[in-house]
Amino acid sequence: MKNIILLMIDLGSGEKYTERLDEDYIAGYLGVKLLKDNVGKDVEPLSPENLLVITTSPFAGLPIPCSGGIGIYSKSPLSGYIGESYLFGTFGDRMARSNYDIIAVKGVSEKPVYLYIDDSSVSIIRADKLRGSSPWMTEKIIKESLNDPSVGVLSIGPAGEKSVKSSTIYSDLQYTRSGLGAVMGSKKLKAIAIRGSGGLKPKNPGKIMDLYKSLTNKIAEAYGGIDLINNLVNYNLPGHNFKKASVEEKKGFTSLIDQIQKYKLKKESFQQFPISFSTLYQVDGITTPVTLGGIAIGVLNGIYNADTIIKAEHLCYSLGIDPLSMAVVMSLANELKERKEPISSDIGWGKDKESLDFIKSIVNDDNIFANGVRYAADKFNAKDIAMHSKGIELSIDAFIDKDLAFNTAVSPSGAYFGSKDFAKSHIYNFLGIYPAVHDFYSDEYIYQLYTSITGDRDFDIGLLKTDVISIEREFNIQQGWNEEDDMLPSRIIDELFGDKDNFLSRRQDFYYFMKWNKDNE
Amino acid sequence: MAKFIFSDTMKCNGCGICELICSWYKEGSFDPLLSRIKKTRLGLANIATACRFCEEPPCVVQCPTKALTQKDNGIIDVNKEKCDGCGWCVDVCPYGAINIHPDRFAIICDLCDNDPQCVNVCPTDALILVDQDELSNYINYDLIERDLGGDV
Repeated sequence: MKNIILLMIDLGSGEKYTERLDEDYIAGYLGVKLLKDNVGKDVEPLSPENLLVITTSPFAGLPIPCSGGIGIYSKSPLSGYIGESYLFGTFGDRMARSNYDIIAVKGVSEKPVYLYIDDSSVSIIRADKLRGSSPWMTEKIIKESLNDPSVGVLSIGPAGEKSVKSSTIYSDLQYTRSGLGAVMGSKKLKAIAIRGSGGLKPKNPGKIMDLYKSLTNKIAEAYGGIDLINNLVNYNLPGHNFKKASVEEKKGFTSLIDQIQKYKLKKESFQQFPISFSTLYQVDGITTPVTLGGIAIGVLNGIYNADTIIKAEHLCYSLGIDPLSMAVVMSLANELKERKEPISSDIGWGKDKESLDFIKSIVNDDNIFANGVRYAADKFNAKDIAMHSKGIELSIDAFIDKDLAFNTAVSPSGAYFGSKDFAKSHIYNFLGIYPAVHDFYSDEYIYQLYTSITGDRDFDIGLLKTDVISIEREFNIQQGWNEEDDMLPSRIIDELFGDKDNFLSRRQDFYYFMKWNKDNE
Repeated sequence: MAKFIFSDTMKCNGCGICELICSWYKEGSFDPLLSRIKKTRLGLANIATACRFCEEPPCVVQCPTKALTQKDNGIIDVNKEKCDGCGWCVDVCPYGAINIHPDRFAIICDLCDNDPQCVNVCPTDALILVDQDELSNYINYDLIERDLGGDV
């Protein structure tokens, strides 16, 4: 394995330098370590001192199915702890072919800019004309201006530019969580485009092709014919703001999921993904992916009209807002309205037009809801109905499945990506494997893949696990984390765990299993 | 009429394995720039393009060093001694199906001795062998003209 190369860019001074890190280790781990060594408790997430760190996967650019995702890490403006997300597709492939394994950005640019990385050369380019553009329009304009449709692009929308705290970074139909788009926006960084032209020559390509076929067959067998949105009818979805769903609400979302099929355009995939996990929908001249986030907007807010849900998800994508967060913020607003709190919106459960207006208004100045559900609930003295973990708005996954709910509570970032096996998923995320396929990979596969790439037969995934699992937690402890932060809203605990004691007892067992002791060592 | 490799736009999901398998099989490296098949995206359609073995191939006719010749089966033969990698063929190919190797010679699909590796490995069975007349059956023009986005 080659040494890890770090590219550090200071947008304040325009200074750029590279550094060859001594360790030939997983870039994700070294990226979070860089954050831990440079971003202390006193650093505000949206200040110039915070770092936005992007790391490559050891499996990127190779025929290793549903992997090669980049890790994006920063101190989250929503939680104040580690913010993390993983994006798959072209950017990771191009980054693996460029000269850099870790890209770290600090400082604030005087004017809006985007970065263009072409193998080893790095340019900071003015982005005045991109101001206010949606992420996908930004990507289109950048590709045209570079005259290269093959570049990988990460971009933010108008919400990120205004540092709305639940803003996303977009790439290949996916979005980040943890408010990472707000960090990028605070640096006046509209996008990062990357071109890499290096070939990858693993030690044993034949073995990698064998593993590709075996893994692809397994994943295709499970997911090839499944429509992930349609499949949601098999789960126990929540009702208004994560309350247990009534019979009427259940009928509503069964009808929503049924109706939405009519608007399906096509399944879509991206680089290194033989199986499609995204589906595009169309209505009234709009074409957009619909994800769990759009469905969450529907079920948590009583909107069962497929037309509105497609438009709502499209608005989130266009503005660069996390739809999962938007769903929760909107349902807080709805419940506050129900409590007759003086909120400045005409929103109400199941009100289609008003809900779309609520999403559009998130980029307005002084919108209290732009600061996330935790902040807004504090302002109205309504902590009891703020559905978050460490300030990150809950995904509806955390209602559907008790294990995913628990993993969300103990996840250092407050967002959880992966299978029921926390320890396994934590390291597989760092390796850049798509969360939905963690169950198909195993440590044996990882060993075989890693040794086929590097030729290093001494690779020990056990040692890697110990390091990777603790590094995010160490970052959090540095920021003032305590056990009370590993918590879920009582609405979830009551529904899934019976009472708080049951949850706390499971948490104690988990800490013991992870060898995380009370003194945070 | 010679058959060539093309992608059914309703099946191709843009995973790019065709480029990786091609570059590995032919050049020993996973590198889309060394692939004889190219994956592109037009609107919302994914399309894979390779040499179409034209009946009067402009690349052969216009090659300044006479390095390209067409065999009886339609395949374009590249004489690496004569080819200086000038890239003229890349410019005149109407389908964007030719690449230039970093060692300065043209790389063009030769159907891997009638056992095309990309077709064998394609996970969605999107890659097919077709002739020019059959082509339009596999192109979804509606998808090509669409884009993500729109106004609410």
